[in-house]
Amino acid sequence: MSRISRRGFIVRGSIVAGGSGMLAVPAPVLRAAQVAAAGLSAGAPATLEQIVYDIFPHSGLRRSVYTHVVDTLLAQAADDTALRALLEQGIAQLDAAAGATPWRDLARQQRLKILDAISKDAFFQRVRVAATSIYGDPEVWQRIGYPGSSIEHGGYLNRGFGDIDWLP
Amino acid sequence: MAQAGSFDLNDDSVAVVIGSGAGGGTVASQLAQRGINVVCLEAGARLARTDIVNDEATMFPRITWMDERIGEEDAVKDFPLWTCKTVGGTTMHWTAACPRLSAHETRARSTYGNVAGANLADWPIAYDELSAWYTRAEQLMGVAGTNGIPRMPENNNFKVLAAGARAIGMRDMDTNNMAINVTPRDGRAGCLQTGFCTTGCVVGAKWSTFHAELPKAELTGHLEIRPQSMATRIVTDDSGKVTAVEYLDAAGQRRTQRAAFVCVAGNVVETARILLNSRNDQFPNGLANSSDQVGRNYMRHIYAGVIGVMPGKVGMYKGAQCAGIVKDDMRHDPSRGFVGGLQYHIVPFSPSTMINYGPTGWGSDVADMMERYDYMAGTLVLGEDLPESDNRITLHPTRRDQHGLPVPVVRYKLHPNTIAMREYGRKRVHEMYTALGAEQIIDMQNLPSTHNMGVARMGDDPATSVCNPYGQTHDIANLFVSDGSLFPSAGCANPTLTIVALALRQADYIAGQRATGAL
Ligand SMILES: Cc1cc2nc3c(=O)[nH]c(=O)nc-3n(C[C@H](O)[C@H](O)[C@H](O)COP(=O)(O)OP(=O)(O)OC[C@H]3O[C@@H](n4cnc5c(N)ncnc54)[C@H](O)[C@@H]3O)c2cc1C
Ligand code: SF4
Repeated sequence: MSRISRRGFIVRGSIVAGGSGMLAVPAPVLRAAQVAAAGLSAGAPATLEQIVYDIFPHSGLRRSVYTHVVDTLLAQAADDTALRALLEQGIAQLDAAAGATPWRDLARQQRLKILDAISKDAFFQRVRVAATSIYGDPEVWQRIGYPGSSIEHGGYLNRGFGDIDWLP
Repeated sequence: MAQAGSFDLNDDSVAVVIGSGAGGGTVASQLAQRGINVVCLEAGARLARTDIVNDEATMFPRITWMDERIGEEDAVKDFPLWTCKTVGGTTMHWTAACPRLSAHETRARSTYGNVAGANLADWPIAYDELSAWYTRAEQLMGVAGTNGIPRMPENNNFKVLAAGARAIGMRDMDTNNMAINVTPRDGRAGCLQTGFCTTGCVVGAKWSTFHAELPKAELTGHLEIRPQSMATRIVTDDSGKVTAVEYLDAAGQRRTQRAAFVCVAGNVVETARILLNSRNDQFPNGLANSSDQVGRNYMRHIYAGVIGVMPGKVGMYKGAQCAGIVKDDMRHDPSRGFVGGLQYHIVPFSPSTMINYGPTGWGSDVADMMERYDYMAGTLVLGEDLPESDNRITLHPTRRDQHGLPVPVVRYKLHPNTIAMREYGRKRVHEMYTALGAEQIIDMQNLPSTHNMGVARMGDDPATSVCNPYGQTHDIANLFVSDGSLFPSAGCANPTLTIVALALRQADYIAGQRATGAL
């Protein structure tokens, strides 16, 4: 019935909770270890990152916004065999649909066409849930105009509260 | 210096209150302030004030009730309810909107007549009497906009809603009755308009049992709060009276606290679960359930979130989340095609919530829409839903949670009246935002329930209700229900002010019963 799930909430929670801890480990080291632990092919992270970007494409952001989603997903896949299988099969399916070139090397329009065809599938929906976590990233907040916690600045009481100026 | 109480497990003179939220926290506090010793069992942990930060995503895992619940039919499948598990209960998350029920809403059966499929009932309390308790609750909570307490100022999100509503001919709107200090009061600070009151309010301006009632009561020495204490069973003796409550402590140790009487305020689903799960030879269908009404008539209001991407900047995140309401449609007017009324109140969503509950799609359309976050205005359509026998809480026959308790199943199906009202309300908000030149309007998806009512309704007849008008169960004189479970009908007012008013009234009644030796 609804896409919102307890799992989605928990995933979101754990990304936030796990985020700062994970940043302490240099990303490439972590990445290699995770890919190995998750038992996925070496190209899997790049493919996943492209999917995440294609799901919520914001140009000009640092890559780390998207890599972080993939890192978290891989960390989860490391101790979740069902998730690992889901990711593996999903990536294989995309590459199969792409033909001779790997899916991620296709031109944008072709990539999107193939993604669209699988957008109702569990694989895509699972990656989409993971991708939503970019909207908890302060770099994305800044881009879309959400300043985040305001208590450090004394709230909005004396800082632009009720300042709307375009209403009739 | 006064300090919090501490009572022995074998002390059978204490009151045990299950839950420390709006209902439990208030009743526990009131009893303690009248000199009655209270042990408050709270499943969640107790946060330090410094654990509260102004970021929804950080606070969510800290305070949310994540134990398994199963949603069926139109309830969200694996997260049917959004409630808290922490000292203070869901008053940590709540956004403090405090409208009263209207008189006609407490006479749903008489006003709406016989609606097919609905199990309508009138409240067993005269509206004048309820009003007097509303006044006391508003004074206790310091509700801005009532009893001479100044209203909250107008934030941008409200200015948009109000302008849109006026543009389509509506007239009755204000910054809502809010349990938020505009200026310091009752030892708590004034609101800094930080936004996202759902984080718990770092400032302490928002009323919660965490910030207000519980600390006050602890100072009397008559209240002991036991956090991380999950009540699993209410025990009765041969005479059919409650004697104790079993619970699991922080270490998972099983404990039994003896009790003179017990008040249950677990927020509806948990209240029904513990009553049903405490069944024994004498009460094979669960405690206080001779009427077979425990768990039934579950109500949750209709919620429909609508987001407008406006032609100019709004910044819906700036300021108290729900301080703004349009009341024109709260009246009962069957010519609209449904019984009961609805309200429109402002609601900002954080970017995370926006994407989790908003567009189901993906790609540049969604990303571009999200880039307009700063231009979004948000409204929640909140309307009365009707009690139905089969909208109910049951215990899963086989599934057990981490405590070994049966997982609660929340079955909720939308009544045709509810669907008609929801569509009407959505359409009105679309009209409001369109009138102001909205570029895009997004209907949010089915939200988990934040308001919970019904399941142990009060009434005068023990054959058709669970509790008397004071929340005392008909079947067991020393067992009380102290939360939204008591509501015979939901109205379209956010429930907490009414929960607190009923809790104040119940505490008064209990004190009277104690004085006469009846309890
Ligand atoms: C996001 C959000 C916004 C809201 N905004 C508003 C608003 O603006 N206005 C309004 O009127 N209402 C609002 N509400 C609803 C409001 O929070 C509830 O109506 C109110 O808190 C209910 O009070 P309660 O005492 O019944 O339950 P709660 O406040 O949920 O307290 C119940 C407590 O009991 C504990 N508990 C449960 N079972 C057990 C057990 N077996 N053993 C021990 N402890 C147990 C829980 O951990 C919890 O702490 C909002 C809710 C949410 C989620
Ligand atoms: S807006 Fe006001 S009431 Fe809400 S959290 Fe901030 S300071 Fe507290």
